[in-house]
Amino acid sequence: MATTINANNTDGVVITPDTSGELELQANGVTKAKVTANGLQDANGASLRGGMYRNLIINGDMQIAQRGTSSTSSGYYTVDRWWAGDASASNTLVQSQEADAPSNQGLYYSYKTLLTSTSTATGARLESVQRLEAQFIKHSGWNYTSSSSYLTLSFWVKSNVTGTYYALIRTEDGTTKSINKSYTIDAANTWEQKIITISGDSSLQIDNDNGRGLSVWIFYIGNTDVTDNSLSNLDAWGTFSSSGYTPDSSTASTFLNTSSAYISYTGVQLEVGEGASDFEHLPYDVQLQRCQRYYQYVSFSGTAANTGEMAVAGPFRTEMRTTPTLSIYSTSGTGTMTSEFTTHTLTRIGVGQVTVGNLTTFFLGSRGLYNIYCTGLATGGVYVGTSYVSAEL
Amino acid sequence: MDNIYKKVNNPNGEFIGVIKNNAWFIPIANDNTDYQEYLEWLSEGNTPEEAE
Repeated sequence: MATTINANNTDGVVITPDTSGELELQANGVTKAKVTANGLQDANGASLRGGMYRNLIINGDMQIAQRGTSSTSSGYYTVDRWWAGDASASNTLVQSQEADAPSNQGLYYSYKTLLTSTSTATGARLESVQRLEAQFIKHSGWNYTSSSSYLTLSFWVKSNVTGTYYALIRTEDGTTKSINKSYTIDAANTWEQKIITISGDSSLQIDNDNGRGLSVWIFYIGNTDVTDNSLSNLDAWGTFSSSGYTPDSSTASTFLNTSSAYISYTGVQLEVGEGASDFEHLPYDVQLQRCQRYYQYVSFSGTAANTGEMAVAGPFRTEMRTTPTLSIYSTSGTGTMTSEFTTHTLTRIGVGQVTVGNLTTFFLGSRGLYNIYCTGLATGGVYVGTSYVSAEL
Repeated sequence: MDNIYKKVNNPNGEFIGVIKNNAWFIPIANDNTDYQEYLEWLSEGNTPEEAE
């Protein structure tokens, strides 16, 4: 029960008090909003917290996939910011962006992990994780050392393997701490929303820097080498052990032994507070720019001053998290550049102000400036090219 | 696949990074997780190829 304030067509306003300490706002007897110990909620108890950029997860709606939409490799290969792993079960995973999402949520894409062959290796595991920058957590408003300050993780999930799964949240500074929270997929091949709330803890350390601060596994299943039934981290923060990411799970065993087992996620949101608010939808360009802090393409063009040299320079599209890693053309000579509709094959490429080949690149920190220096080109030829840079966590 | 790292020097002969698997240039940047991975690879007793 709760104290109610009912605006109706007969009496105007009717106030019905009680001693619950909670309040409901009604229109003609129908509850429209609640005020509880958890804050302002809608009629169903969902938080009505607002605020831009409250979602600490980047690309939680899986709409950005700069690298591609499908890959059989572990790591950052498809949906931006999401790392997929298949340790000890190599070449059994397909990660992909799918045009599949729960209806009526304003979501369109999801991130799918598909098992293409089974594994009984004791160290086998599959995982999907997003690693969050420490300073973003530090400045989020979460009082992470307080047991009465909360984070809420909400997401939509779908799988053909029902049962109990575990989400894992881990701090990365100081002594590594982690907490597991279980969630259950009740129906096969059906989108279900799951909501997990965790509190802070006095033992947590999160630094004010650009390194890893918090890692969020929405999906982690493993065989016995990487799970531990005596784990103390279930529902409580504890010191992380790599031999026990999560408790043992019969669901994990079933999943790893089911060819074509899959699990898909979308609408992933991590926010400060107790209770999940509606998913925060961001425009494509905003979401893309957030992803480009960690991965982006660089394009360049220039005119060869002579047969030997061309230099181009420019800034990154957005400041990167740190001085990035650069993808380079093969140093064995398979790279190409286009020049006035003619493709030139580069015979050798070096990087970092090193004149060992036809393309030299250097970077001045996380803001750019990048500089690409070529040799062996046609005088006056206009050359264009692209590469990409990565500063993932 | 085992990773292969090759050192990269600038024209002055100063070490400025490594090339990983003929596909990535990794700068010396302590915050770069690829560089951190390289340092871990080194600590396991591995040795990179020398720069040209």
